[in-house]
Amino acid sequence: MNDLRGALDAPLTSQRRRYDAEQGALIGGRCSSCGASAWPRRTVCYHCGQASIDDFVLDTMGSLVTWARVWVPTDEVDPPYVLGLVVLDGIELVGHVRGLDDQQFKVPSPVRLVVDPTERPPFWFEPATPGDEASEPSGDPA
Amino acid sequence: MTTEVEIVGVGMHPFGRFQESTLKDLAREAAVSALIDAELTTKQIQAAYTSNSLAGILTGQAQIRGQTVLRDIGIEGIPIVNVENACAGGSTAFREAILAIQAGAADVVLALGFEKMFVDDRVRTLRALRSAADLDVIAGLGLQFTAVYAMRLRKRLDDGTLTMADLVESAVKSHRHGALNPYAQHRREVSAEEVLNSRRIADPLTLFMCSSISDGAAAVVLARRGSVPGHGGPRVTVRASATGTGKSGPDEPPIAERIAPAAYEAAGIGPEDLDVLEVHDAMSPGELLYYEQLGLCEPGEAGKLLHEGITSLGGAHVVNPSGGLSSRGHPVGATGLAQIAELTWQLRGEAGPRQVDGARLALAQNSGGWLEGASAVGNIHILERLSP
Repeated sequence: MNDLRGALDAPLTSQRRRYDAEQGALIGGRCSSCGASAWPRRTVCYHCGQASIDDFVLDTMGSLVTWARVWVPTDEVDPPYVLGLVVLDGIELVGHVRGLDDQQFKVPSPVRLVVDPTERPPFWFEPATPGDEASEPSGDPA
Repeated sequence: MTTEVEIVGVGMHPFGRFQESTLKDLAREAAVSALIDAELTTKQIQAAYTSNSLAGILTGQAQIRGQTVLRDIGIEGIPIVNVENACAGGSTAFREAILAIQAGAADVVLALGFEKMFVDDRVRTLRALRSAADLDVIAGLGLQFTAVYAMRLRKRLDDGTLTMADLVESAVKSHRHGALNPYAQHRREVSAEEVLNSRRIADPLTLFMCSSISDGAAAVVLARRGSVPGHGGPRVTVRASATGTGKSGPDEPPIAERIAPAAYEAAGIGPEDLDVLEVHDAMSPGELLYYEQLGLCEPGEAGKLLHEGITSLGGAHVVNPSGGLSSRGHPVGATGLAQIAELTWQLRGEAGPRQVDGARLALAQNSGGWLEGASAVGNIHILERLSP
């Protein structure tokens, strides 16, 4: 069965929540058919083509796959700042990384998500410390 | 391929900073040079595919860019299709031209890429470049493509499969080749020390590893074999055209790795047969990643290949004899066609001091855009010299 009609009733992009400040977590979309997930939520699953995507709360612990410290100014952020690629619940995300010690740091390395809507950007990653909750396997079949 | 498609003419406007020149000036020099090279008139062009990525933002000419630049040189009335595929727009225009000929829609087709990136304010250019990613997802992060490459390289430094010395040497090689290319933006050799000590851009990348903001244009005239007389010299034919777009998920291989096997199969060759390649090194160490993705070496062996000189002029598989994007320059929509122009000169034996001796088989690889991990688009073309 491949019913695309659900895609016609999907919420507008602007109405899809991307994070929950109270939970301090990102909200993505997960395919109820095959489990493939994406952030931000999409309308049709890239893996199986089904249009039955549900909101889900992403794990707040992820793995920093790589990073770069940027030194060139743009109109968005004043340098230096660190961009990182993080895999969170099987999703590849790009975000800022704070508190990273260039000399000591080696990837891949565990990071935790921090959400604060009063900041720009409203979420970022920080190196995980021993007290952080262990990352739970997502059991994602995709 | 059932219909033989040949490259019958190529031309470029040099890459660099051309304050006084407009898009029309840049495009004119490339297109007219290609037509002269092909010994054809403007009236023999039956269709055109025109690539530009940034004019919509930088000059405001968001629409009909091909028609506006081509009417200056009397090309009008024919099908003109405007192509945009970020940094891979040029090779996408080239591919569409091939498909048009194979489909029988036209016999003689112009593929033209032109870009003007120097404007009043560099921040405006960086903002325009940012639209090669999904703004809905990355807005506010200060994404720069230098950082995209830096991230690709950082994990290779950390897992020990590349070293800082490899990254530096790639920039030295790029400038060494670029210094021999009259069309290149950066034509001065640099030492390893200069590379290492040049301004920090996005760690681990320094200034001399990165392509610059650039103005320029490149053009290729393609024709169905036998439809135009040609000029009696060596003929260059298209053996393969492969394309793909990025896929979601952290475990997907890069596009080049995914589509290269199809390109090699179509051409009936393997990477070991290639004499010369032009690959997408928007930052010079990027070419190291493509050695592996294109099968020139095993994973983890790229640094060795570079240091042994295999990919330098004089080596068995010369990569980026033009200086590549990082030294030739990277006027986004023109780059893919500049790669084809360079390889055509190489295959015809017309590349002067940067000539790869006896080059017969060539590969062009061009990437565009970024979707948080994968490139947004990737194209590979394989060209072959036929004996006259």
